[in-house]
Amino acid sequence: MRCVIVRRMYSVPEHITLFGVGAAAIGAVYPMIMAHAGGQGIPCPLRAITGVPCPFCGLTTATVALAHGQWSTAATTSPLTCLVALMVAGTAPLLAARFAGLIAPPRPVTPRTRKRVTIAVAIVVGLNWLFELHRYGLI
Amino acid sequence: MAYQGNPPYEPGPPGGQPPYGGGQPPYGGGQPPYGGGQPPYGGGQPPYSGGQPPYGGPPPPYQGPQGMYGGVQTSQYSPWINRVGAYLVDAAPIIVGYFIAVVANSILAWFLIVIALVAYWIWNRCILAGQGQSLGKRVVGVRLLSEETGQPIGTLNAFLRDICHFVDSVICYVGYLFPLWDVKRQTLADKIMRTVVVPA
Repeated sequence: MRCVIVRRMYSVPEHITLFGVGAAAIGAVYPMIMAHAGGQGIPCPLRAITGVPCPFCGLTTATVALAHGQWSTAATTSPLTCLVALMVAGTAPLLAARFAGLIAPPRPVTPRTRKRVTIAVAIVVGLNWLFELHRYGLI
Repeated sequence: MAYQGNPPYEPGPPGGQPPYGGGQPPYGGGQPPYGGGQPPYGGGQPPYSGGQPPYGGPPPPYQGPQGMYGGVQTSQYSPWINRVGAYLVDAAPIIVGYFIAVVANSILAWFLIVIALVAYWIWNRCILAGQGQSLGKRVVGVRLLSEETGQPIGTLNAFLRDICHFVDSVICYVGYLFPLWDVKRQTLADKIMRTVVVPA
């Protein structure tokens, strides 16, 4: 019997949503894993080496908090993670419809649009970095 | 009427087609990739011929099939999840070795296993990956190629690429997530080393 794999095209937000769903699943059981492993979680190499948090510090903590419904904890740890979570929640129905083959593949974006989105994301990540620097008392 | 999706992906006979390009869309079955009958973004460039390089000349730079995003079609590169699968397969012996060492709980066992794992890592991640496919990539069916030449990158560059993965790690490992949104599905190490991972 031949196995047929149907490949579908997904947009970038849908790819991130797929990852976000997986991250939420891991985040739901992460404290249990850490309790058994006796670990302190995944360290940020940049902070471990230099003491300076990276723009993405707090991702794990915020993801675990979100997976347990603790929005305020997540927001005060990593606002970027909350924004991604909102995007995941908004894109999930689209992803499900695309996965089911109910809607057509995504339309390509122009390089100009892609550049604008990249700049916007860079600004958001930069703001999140400022937040993290403030959270760790560096500014 | 519900959209029927893309036609099923049916891998061709081994060696029957060039690994990329070849003048045919990768999984299109003759359909235009997107946008109906309109030319894709970045059109106007001739498709990659996929033929033999001129006699005596260097191989043509890797271009792949033309398509979206100004001449780069993301579907020609391996999805992030495939790369994760390959990495997990590569890491499986190390995880097993670690647990054996923990169970054995002796200095000699730790020493021997560490030596064996370092040798495995060099053989797998440097030598084999330098030839295009580590064990994990072979299992998953992807290849590591130079972005410029379309050829395997060699042992030394594969070693340097693994070192460059430090850059992916240093920002809370987000560099490993870059293939989720990058046009060429590259990690930061891939961008530094100018490598791409494509379906085998």
